[in-house]
Amino acid sequence: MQYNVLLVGVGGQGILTIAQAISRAALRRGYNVKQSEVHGMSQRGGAVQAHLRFSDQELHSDLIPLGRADLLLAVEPLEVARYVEYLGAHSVIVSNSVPVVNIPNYPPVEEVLAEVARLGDHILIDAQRLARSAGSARAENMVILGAASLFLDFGAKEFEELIAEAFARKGPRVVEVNHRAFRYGRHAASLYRDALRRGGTGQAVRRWVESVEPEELARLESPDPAAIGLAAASSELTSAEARAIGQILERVRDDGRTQLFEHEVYSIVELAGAITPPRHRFVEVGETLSRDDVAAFPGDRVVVKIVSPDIVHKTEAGGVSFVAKSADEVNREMKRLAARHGQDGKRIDGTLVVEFVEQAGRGTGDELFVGVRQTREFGPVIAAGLGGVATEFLSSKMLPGIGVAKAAALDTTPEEFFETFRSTAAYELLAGTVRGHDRVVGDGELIRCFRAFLAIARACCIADEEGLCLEELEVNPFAFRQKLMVPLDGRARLGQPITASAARPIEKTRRLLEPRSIAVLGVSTKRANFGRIILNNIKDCGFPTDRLCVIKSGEDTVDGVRCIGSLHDLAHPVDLLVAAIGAEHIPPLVDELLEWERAGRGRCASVILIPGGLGETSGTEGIQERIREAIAAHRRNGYGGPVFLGGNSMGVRSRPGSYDTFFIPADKLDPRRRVPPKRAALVSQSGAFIITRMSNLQYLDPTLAISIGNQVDLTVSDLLLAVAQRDDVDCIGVYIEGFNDLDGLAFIRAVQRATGSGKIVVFYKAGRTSAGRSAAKGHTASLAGDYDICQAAVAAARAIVTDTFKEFEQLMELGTDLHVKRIHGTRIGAVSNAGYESVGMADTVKGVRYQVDVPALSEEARKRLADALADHGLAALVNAANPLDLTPMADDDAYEACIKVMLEADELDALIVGCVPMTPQLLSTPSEIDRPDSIARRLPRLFAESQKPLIVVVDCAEPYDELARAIRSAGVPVFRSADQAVRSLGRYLCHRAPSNREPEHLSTKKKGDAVAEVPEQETLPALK
Amino acid sequence: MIELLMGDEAVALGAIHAGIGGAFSYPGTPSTEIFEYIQAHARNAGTPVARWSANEKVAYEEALGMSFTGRRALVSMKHVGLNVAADPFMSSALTGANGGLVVAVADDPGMHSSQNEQDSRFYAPFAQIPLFEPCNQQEAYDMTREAFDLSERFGIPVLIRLVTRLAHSRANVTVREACVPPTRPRATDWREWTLLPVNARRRFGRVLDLQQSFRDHAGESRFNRLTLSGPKGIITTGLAYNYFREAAGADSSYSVLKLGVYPVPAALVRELTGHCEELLVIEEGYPFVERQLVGLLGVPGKAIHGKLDGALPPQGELTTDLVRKALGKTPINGRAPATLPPARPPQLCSGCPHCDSYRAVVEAAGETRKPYFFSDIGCYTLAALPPYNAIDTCVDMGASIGMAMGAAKAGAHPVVATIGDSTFIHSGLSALIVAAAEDLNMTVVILDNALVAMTGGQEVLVTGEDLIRVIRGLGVRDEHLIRLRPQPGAHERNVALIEKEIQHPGLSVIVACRPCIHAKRRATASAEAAAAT
Repeated sequence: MQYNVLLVGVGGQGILTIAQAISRAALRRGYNVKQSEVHGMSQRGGAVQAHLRFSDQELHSDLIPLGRADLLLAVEPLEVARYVEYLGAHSVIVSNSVPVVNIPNYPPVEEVLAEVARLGDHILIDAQRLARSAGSARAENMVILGAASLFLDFGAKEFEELIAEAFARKGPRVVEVNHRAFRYGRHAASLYRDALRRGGTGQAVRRWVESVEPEELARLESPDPAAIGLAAASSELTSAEARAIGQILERVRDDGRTQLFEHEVYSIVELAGAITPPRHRFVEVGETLSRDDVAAFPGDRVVVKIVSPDIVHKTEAGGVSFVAKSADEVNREMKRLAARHGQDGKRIDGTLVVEFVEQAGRGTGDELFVGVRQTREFGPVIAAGLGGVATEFLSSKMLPGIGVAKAAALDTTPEEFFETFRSTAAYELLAGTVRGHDRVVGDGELIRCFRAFLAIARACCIADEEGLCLEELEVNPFAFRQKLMVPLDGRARLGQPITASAARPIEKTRRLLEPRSIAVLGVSTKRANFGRIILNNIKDCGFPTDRLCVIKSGEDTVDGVRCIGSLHDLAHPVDLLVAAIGAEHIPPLVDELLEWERAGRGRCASVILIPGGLGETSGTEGIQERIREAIAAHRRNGYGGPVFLGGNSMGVRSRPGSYDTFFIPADKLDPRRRVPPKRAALVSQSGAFIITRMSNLQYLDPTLAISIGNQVDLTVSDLLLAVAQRDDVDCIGVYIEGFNDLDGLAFIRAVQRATGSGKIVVFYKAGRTSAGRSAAKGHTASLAGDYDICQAAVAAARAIVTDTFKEFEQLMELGTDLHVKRIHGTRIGAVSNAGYESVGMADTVKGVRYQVDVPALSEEARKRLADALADHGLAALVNAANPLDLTPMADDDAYEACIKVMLEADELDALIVGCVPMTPQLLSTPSEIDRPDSIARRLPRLFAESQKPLIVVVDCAEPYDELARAIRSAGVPVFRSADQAVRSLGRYLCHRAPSNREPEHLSTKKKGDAVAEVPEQETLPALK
Repeated sequence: MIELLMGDEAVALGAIHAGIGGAFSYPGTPSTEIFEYIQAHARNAGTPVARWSANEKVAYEEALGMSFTGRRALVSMKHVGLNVAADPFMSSALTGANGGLVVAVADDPGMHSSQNEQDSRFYAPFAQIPLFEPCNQQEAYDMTREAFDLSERFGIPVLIRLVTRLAHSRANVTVREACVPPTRPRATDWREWTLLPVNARRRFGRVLDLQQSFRDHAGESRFNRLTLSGPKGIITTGLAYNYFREAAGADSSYSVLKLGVYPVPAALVRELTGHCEELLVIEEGYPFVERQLVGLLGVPGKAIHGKLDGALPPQGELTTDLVRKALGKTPINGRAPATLPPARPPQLCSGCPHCDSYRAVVEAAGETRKPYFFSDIGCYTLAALPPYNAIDTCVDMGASIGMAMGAAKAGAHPVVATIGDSTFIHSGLSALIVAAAEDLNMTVVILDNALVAMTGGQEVLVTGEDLIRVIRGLGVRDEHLIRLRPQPGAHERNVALIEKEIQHPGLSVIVACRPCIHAKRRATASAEAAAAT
């Protein structure tokens, strides 16, 4: 082994010091060393060089022969050029990028640096900046030594010891400064090398590394290449990368544009790492390319693209040409494109000359689209799917999750997103699992790409200090070359930043849900207005009247409840104030409450704002905004409560809190107050949605029903979180029309919290109009609209996302009634006395977002079933099989016997029992069902005795509603059609089955333990 | 024990380990580090070390005096320094050495920092004394130790010749136990050391008698090695051997005579020439061996290549690549440089007092009067370059004053000599005595920066007020002995002062006194270090 280091620079830069450090390190390792220096006249300001050689063999010449320098270490960049002859094919250059300009004819620095980069394997480090940061401008040599140390066979520790020795006599501070400088250099070089290996161009990499904060470099504790790889694997941008991207965005903004140019998008994705754009060069209008410039492009063709902020879709506009790789043709085409498009009065900035990329495959699915965009509700999101011009068409024709994978960027990791992506058709095509397709890209490359886009989304789709924010950035398509991703076009747009409102003091929601005292405002003594109904409902719930009052002057009592003249007169603050007053009185009330709070005399912990007309109707938006802003300002100033629920809210029906503000008279909807509540809760933006569900699910009797209204303060995420923390609720139904800014993100976290603690969340999102596709917008908005993202993200948080109200109800019912059941798997047994039901159940084992089995029975179960059938004289009529078609000949007793066998069969995880009640064999009419041996009585018993889920199908009309009601009132889920039963049970089983995760493409996440870490005080993450 | 040593340091350590009683020197690149190393390390070894001497002649004489007492002495200098010391050097061959006396001289082929690239090896046959030429740092150490033994064995001074590339190159050196040299009495016979013609003739005869012993020693020395192999013969000396080995690589077909000890061992050369048809002589410096080999006529029947026939360039340093070419091997090419960058000559540091001095001198002398600017050797020689263009000559140490005198006597005006404080002490004093005595119409500007700056900042013997006293003592009249402080703020005043003295029709001496910025920085740093401890 022989290693030759040529150290060059300008006299006075300390070249000899670092030469000696390397020599001593080599000597320590037992090498033979030769180190030749120049002393004397050239000490100051002149070109100096030192030859350093070490070898395990005898060394002869003190000088390095030409072509034999392994490492050229330059403390001054121009000096590199003086020693080019010493460089061989595999030489590495490590150079300072900061010149010493002490001669009048010093060439332009960028040219000097470009020349260094052109020479090949190199590292250019701004040693001056790092040396100053380390504590002394004179430590530039140590920075360069640190950078060069990457290529030397000695550990950083050895060097640090030697540095300590060398500077020991100058005191510990000097030693520390030099140590720091060494580390900065070494770590910066690691980054530089890594970035180059990832395909960055010299200049971009240099600028990037030069923008890394030294402190950040120092934190990179272990600069060995493997660790750097890991550091780069973080899905966060370093502050330097973010700053570098920020600078690009600033330039765009300063240029008066919102659209980014293709090459700017390339720069961003390249900076974020992992993605190597094709060779490209932006040429300004009027500029031409030289023969060498053009020759530098690989291949024999290049692509010329028009660059204009007014032309987004270049291909459609005729702004893309393919030309032969000759300077003349390229220059001619650039001129032609600029002239042609300039005629229309469009602003033309120049043209982009891009390498022609030979793609690996050329068919559907051989291109990929990846984009990120900012959403108002969920913050930044990421989407990936089939690329190319047909991407929207293909996606629109596919089931959710098949065409495009999407996720909230702040709530997914690259690996998780990759898992989601694996379920897409795009992945199957790219991975070559489809006939006629070969794999064109590696999984690692995909993950790296997702990582980069996630990093961009997290860093740039949220406003920075400058208020700069990427609204959208996408590459469509990516092509593939040697299993690597190559972007062929990209677009991005600046947008308006979105910020979340200040966190609410949600611990006060406990006071809202279980108040110890309530005051009602807006009770009329003359008529049954909303306030009066609310007052009576609260009374009827059994809320103690001594802790209830009406805020009203001039009266002593209303309906037996004492009146207090004004809020001022309250002896103690109340937990809950129900404001059933006109909308016009709400703003002054809010102001007043906040003012008292600021004065330290808070009047209440929580407020329900009942009235509508606070923003949901046109002309009232201003009122709502005023309230919202008043509350937000209050919060920003560090004040807490009260928390406000509403407006336009029906309030809360709380069984544990013994109160009900739903202004529904009891004769309109039976409140069933004497029946113990079920372990269910409903959180809904619409009050009417709650009461219709409660009407339909007559026996649901939720523990909590919360109408959140317009979310002027408390949001759906706050209330979901409040409910998620309760231990008297198993199943939570959520209906939402729209989230407050970024509250969707908080909502996902709340869902994770709930599902993480074993609760079922059933979710329905209204408002699924697909986002309009304007000419200015890219694909991401249409492929990953707000509704899609909501569905995907909420499903990923393991809520059961429902598409219809019916499905919502059914899953609420299953979620509540089956919560105590053990779920081992998704194998369903089916029993019916109607052949079509048995067949129909078997036909629906697979559907959107679920898949179940209807397995054959084991020999033992079949035998036991055959015996039971024989006992009931059905052996000749009925096959002992699953699904079991009992035929209309089966009576109640036969039903029970067979159900028992099926429930006991190990190969079945759940049972659906269908009974067509018209058969004379069954006791099913209203007059029969109360008999103890009726099927209506037997099924609840069987349900209670088994740990397995059992659901019932009663598929017929009115006369048999009583039968259904009788079974359901005993807590057994009842469906009115067999296919719906299988579908809903299927989804439920898939959701709860331990080993069988939901095969739906949306829900693939395993949050598991991470959920336990969600802090008690859930607030939005700090968003930059 | 293995140490990483420069060639200079290896010589110094060799001398320390040889038990020297003292070392003597005047700074000069590339020899400076020999004395500096001894300054830094010898005290530990118990060797008393003097300060830098006034010049090489004085240093040599000091060493000779120490040798007279029976102690070993090392004197080191650069090649042109030996010219200054040539007088005592040549005669010391006759007096001989009592305690071992070794002269280490560092040549500068390629003239990295010298005014010529003379080959000091010629001084050895000139004085007819033995010469060592190490090829690497290890030999530099070993040869120095052996040189002291040899010096005492034959009672003769011994020359060691280094070149820049060895002097300033570090390598691992295996060092041995220091020795305690046998105690020697002082020289007692006055006829040996007093070179009256009667004694000198006898002493010269002794030197001539010793020549055969020297040749025998060289012929037997382990540093001269003959390896016979193929018909291509190589003679290499010193450092050139390394380039040959590097260039030859694994090719062992050459028959090689490697020389390190002189006189040239004729028997070994004959054995090689007898074995080979063709010879290539590779040596760093002048064609010293090659010329002896070819004489006037060459070796009959043999082709001899080297610097004389252009196989190797007669000027500059050798390199592996040049030697490869001379061996007829295909060159290894590095990358072809696109364009060489603009040259970056050394330059005066920004803030250097010399900058202010020269600006003032040039302005005072007046462009239109076509002044005669004689100058000397030091950092300030860089004032020859733009923007100053303030130097017409630079020849040897102290030459500025002497040459100015000649010009003044020729009637030239204005005549200005610029000379550094250390150079003035080295070789300016005697000339200035004459100029003062004759009150010649010239102006001497002494640039007193309180440091020997160019060679790396060695201390000067006399500076500041002491220097003024010395000048006054040489006979310079007080009214034309002017002190000024060269700094930007005093520029106008300095120009006026210098111009006035230039107009004075006799000798004026102006002392521009401001410390070198590096001396200042160093003083601050050491004060800080002292305060810190």
